[in-house]
Amino acid sequence: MTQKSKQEHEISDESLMVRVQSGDHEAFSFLVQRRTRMFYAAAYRMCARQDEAEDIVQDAFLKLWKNPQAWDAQRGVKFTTWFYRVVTNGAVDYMRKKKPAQGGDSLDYLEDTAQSQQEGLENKQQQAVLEAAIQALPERQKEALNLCFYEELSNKEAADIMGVGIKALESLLMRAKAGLRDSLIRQGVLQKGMKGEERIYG
Amino acid sequence: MGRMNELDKILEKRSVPEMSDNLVSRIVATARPELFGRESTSVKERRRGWLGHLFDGILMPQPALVLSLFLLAGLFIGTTVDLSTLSAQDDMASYLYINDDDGYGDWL
Repeated sequence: MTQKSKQEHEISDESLMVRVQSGDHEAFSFLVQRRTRMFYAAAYRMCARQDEAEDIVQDAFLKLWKNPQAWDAQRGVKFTTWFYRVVTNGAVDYMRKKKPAQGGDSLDYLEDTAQSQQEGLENKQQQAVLEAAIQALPERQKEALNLCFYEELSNKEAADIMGVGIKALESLLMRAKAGLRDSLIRQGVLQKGMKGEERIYG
Repeated sequence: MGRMNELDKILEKRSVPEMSDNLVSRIVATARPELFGRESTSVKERRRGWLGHLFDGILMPQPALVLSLFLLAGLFIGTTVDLSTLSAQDDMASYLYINDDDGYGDWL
């Protein structure tokens, strides 16, 4: 690692944002390199389409570049917390505009490594069912699930991003999981056990 | 709790496809430096910016003091110059009068 890139790694997102606010394109470039993968994943989990997720992330970064003052350093909000809100809002807008007939990706990207072809197929099917079940959740529940479970944010951070209280977030999360559980049981991915416990099939 | 753990195991299997290799370079290239700050520049702000540029060239460290001096100077001139000695006719005559040595006459 060169001295310059080592220094860049030590710079916080917030420091980079301050530089971006003064028009530093290099700082913007470094921020994009550092954070694109993370926010692409967040966008993908919202819309389940690779091309759309890429567009959402690109739009979000362009908005940031054109109006970096939208992030206010004085308010002490972490860059990632703030940008999650930008990306998830962008994803919600995108999904509202898109045609309802469009489905998710085919899940062809899943590799059948170290598994038999049969297991690979079952895994793909299970993922497709899971993805469909998640996408069928109400928007706010899906957002809560994505932020808390997949982005591994604290309840406080997720609540801040969504603009709700912690209790409301916990309620959304609980309803999301309950809805998913019911959906997966109906689809035969989870099966209710004899003593009320579900078992995974597939 | 056990039920949720089973669900969590399934949720953990969810994966995300790799993003395009050129996504980062695409974003960086699209965000050209000349686009910086364009979105926040409304018509009103642009107009203010134009006026701002005009007034940026005038250094006025203490505007109140400068305005007071101008006011005092105006009052001084107004009280010292005797306007009654001037008439509109004299003014016009001095304006139209040209050198009559060249033989073309006194007046235009």
